[in-house]
Amino acid sequence: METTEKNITRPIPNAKEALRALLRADWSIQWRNRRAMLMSIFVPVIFIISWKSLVPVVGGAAVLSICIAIGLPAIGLMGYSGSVARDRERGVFQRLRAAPIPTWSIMTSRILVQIGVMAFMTLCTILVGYFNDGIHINLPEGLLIVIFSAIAGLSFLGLGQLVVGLIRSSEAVNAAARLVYFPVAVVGAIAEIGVFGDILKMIVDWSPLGTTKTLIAAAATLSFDSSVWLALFLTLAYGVVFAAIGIKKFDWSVN
Amino acid sequence: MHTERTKAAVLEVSDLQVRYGDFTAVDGVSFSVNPGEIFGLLGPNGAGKTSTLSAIEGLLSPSNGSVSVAGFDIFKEPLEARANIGIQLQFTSFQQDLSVREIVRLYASLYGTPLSDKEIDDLLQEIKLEGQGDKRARELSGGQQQRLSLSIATIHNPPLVLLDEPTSGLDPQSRRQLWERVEKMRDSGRSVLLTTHSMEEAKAICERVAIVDHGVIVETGNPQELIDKYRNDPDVLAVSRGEVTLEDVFIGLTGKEVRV
Repeated sequence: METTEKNITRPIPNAKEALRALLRADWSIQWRNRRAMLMSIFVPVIFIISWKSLVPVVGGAAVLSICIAIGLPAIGLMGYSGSVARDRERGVFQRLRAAPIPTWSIMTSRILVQIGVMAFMTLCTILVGYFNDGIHINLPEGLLIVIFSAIAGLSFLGLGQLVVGLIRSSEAVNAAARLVYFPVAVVGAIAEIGVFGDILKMIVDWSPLGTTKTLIAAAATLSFDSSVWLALFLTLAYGVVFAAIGIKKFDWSVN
Repeated sequence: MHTERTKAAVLEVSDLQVRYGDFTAVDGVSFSVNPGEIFGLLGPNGAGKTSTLSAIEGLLSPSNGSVSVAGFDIFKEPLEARANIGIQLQFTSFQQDLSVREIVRLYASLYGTPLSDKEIDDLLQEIKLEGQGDKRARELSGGQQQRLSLSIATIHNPPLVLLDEPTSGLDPQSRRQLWERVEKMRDSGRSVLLTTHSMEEAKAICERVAIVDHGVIVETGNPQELIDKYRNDPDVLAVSRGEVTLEDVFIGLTGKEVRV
């Protein structure tokens, strides 16, 4: 009788080692594509420079919050979904999945790098707001803004995951991400001033962009009321729902 | 009860079935690969070779069947099973923006065998990529990418190596060089499962082949034995252009129509 022997064993890296190796690689790739990263950082920076005159009218916290809220979906929606779709099409994920590592570590590494980019974008926007617009933020407020940006960033990464989960082709993902970005960020930013009416303003206020603005503004002024907690809850809920559907629908394979 | 333990197959595939919706790509495929054996999966386009390989690697879930690698069930103990497989799949690639050195370092770590800079240099020298460590993956030629890919497939010294059409797109020199590398793997005790369209390749390096068509294995055996077996088969003789070859047997068994 032939029996199967488990006598040939090979090392399996623990999840921490795998994640560290993936993070090192993903950071290197992000750095080499820094031109694209800088473009997404420029968006909120350009907004905060050009909206300097609004600071005395609506307040520094409001201007800062809308600028950061516009920048986050640029990274989460366009940067993340685009790179994931492209790497899926090239078969990079299939190759990584063939390694003896947990699948979650592959995506966790990607997400952590994007969160890092979002934190950097937030810091740049705070600094430009401080020096150019005179929006004074103390260290505790600044730290809280970065933390809330990361939380809000997760909801936009979830939205990016949803796009890449529902659409296969990288070109179609890029087009869809831009189509989604326009209503999420641009319409959201303009609706803030009420030009589209109260109903749309209310919808925008409780959209991912609106809840992000609420969170950042609250962090900038360290003022928390029930609407801030509701915004925090909704932000987390958006992230969980988008990511859950996006992960469930995500197809790793090339074909 | 008979208790003698014999040297088991490195890979055992049993009644494997893979479906994509209503389409059955692999339909009840069973075979095994022994230690130190080069086993070829031959078949026309769309025969189910790549789906079989993907299921063996655990990259897709079969509708039915089992796959055991070095005694580990790929679906129940995927990490342990994958740790025993080296892989070079079609339609996969390394991160194009990483350098050759970074790719080697990354995959060595992912396979639990981190390498020092010196070890990476030695490895690059071995695959004739010395001095190319700082080049990005996208800057390598097809042959260089194949050598790198094959080298990474064996970086953790696995008992089983899966190669999906490894010589596709290579020039004759690179192809011969790759055959030699595959034979060296066999000589060092590893088992190799490869898919190929090249009957010349199958005959040159495979100890056994399985001819797959429409998701089922239609014949298995040593290439020369298959030629001898079908030498007088009317379907094979009808397509033969002189001396009966493995390609004649292949076309005789799978038909002349072109697959897309």
